[in-house]
Amino acid sequence: MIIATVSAKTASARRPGPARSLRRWVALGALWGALHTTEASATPDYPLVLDATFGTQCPNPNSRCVICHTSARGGQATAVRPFARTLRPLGLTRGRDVGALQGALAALSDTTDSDDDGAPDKEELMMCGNPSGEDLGVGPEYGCDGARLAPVASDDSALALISLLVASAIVRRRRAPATSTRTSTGRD
Amino acid sequence: MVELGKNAEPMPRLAFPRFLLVLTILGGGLAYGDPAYAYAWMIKHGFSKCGSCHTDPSGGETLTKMGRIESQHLLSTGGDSFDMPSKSAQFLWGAIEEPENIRLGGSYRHMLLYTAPVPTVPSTVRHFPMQLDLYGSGTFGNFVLGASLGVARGIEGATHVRGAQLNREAGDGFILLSRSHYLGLWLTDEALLRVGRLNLPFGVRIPEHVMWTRESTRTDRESDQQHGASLAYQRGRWRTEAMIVIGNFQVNPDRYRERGITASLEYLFTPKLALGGSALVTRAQEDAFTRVENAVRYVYGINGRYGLSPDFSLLGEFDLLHEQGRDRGYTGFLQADYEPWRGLHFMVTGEVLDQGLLQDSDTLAVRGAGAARYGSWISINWFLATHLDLRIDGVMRQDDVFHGQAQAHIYF
Repeated sequence: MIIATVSAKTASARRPGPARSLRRWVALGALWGALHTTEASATPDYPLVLDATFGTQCPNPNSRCVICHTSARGGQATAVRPFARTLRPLGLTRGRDVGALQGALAALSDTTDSDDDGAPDKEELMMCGNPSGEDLGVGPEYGCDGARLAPVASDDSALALISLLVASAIVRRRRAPATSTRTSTGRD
Repeated sequence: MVELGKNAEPMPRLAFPRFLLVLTILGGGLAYGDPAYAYAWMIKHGFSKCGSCHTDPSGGETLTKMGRIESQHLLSTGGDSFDMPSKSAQFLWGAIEEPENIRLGGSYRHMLLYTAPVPTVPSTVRHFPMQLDLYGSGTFGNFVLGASLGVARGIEGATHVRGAQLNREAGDGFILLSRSHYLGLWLTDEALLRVGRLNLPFGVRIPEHVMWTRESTRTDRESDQQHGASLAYQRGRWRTEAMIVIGNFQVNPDRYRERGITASLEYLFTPKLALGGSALVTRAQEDAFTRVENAVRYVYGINGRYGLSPDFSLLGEFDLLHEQGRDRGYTGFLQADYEPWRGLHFMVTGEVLDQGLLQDSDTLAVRGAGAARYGSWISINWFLATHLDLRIDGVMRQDDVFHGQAQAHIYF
């Protein structure tokens, strides 16, 4: 509402009626959209289909993308993991096709073992495991939790230390403030 | 008609600072990359220094006072009819006047996405708010503070946006996000040192965050920012920024954080021709996306911007990719932008991707991994009024269905 009011007010000084009206409607539309947010990106349904099929509630579904893909960001060319290769001849040949995934899972034999680890794929999926290789664990979680630092490898520590040393050296060697006057943020 | 300066006032000549030399040595010769731009085609108007219009010297997000005026004057249809800078170019269209040392702004983007049908799968049309961010930046003496704060609605299982997330919502609920936040110190008029969460200085800072070049190098402005320390330095025809990456502290646990260095450098051959290069090397105990352990990524790239005329510009980038467990790959794009009328852009973009063949299995080469995969974008972007633009894209990629995108963007 603020946007709409402000927009209309400022536009009135210079803009003719139709432009003011357009801007008001756009601003109102934006406000409506902000209050009715629905989705933010693509539709990663497949981990949820696995849950529904095998009666599981596996945590952190985005980490399960790598059961089939080489990257959790997905994409057609990245679906080359062993379980994806197993499902391909069973009809799962593309993304966004929930029906094809359900059909391929229905056609999957109870004894198929894509990664040859001795555990059939279906059993692994029922245990929230990974039929394409080593178990995935919980995987990365997102959000601020800076205090939870795991032990890091020595080279990581060294790199962090170097960065701090460089920063402190730069600050120490800082020259006197420039003579020019900055009137606002940036170089304008 | 007010004469608007193109690159702010000339900078005083200063000796090459020692700290840059130190950082260059630490970078091991990697510090060759390009500072980048939100609207990189502005070079056709002679705007080569993005720090003139953005508080981030490498471009993007918060606009300076001058940036807002140029947005109205040069970007928008009818903008050249203003006899003097309009108050409506300023924050919230001039309704609120910021203190002289504070710059505020924000973006709202609403996206409508059409996905073409394939056999057994019908077409889909979805719309969603792609971005709702507030930006701010303040200068206090030689210090500068900058931050963005936004909201989005997550999708369970999706990785987009998550990297910038502040709260711990893992499902479909609202997420609070901050793409960047930093404390900076102007060491000289030409050098800005910043510590915080920053856009990575790599390649051309284009707004198309899903373009392969940005996704495969993990250098988009959507959520690929990292925490670390960066030094941006601009002098004469040279511009550079180098950043020590200490990890994205909005990803947990620590084993998934990438650490390393990235840098960019650009040389302005003429006021409308800039060429540069970028480099990035990172390592994580475990890659958050591929789950490969001890994951090292190398990316090296070259890029260029060329304003052939006030109506026509070319942008391009080509990057070599090498990550743990894969053969070498590459990605790149070339974009032509034609603006026949002020504010109305017709764009054609070609892109290519080969991430490299997986080394650890009997995987055969497929397009995009072991073989080249091509894509193209046809776009129309109309800046129809001050801080308001509409954009339509048709995205055609090999081994993918057609995607149509329409978005409205308000900068307030």
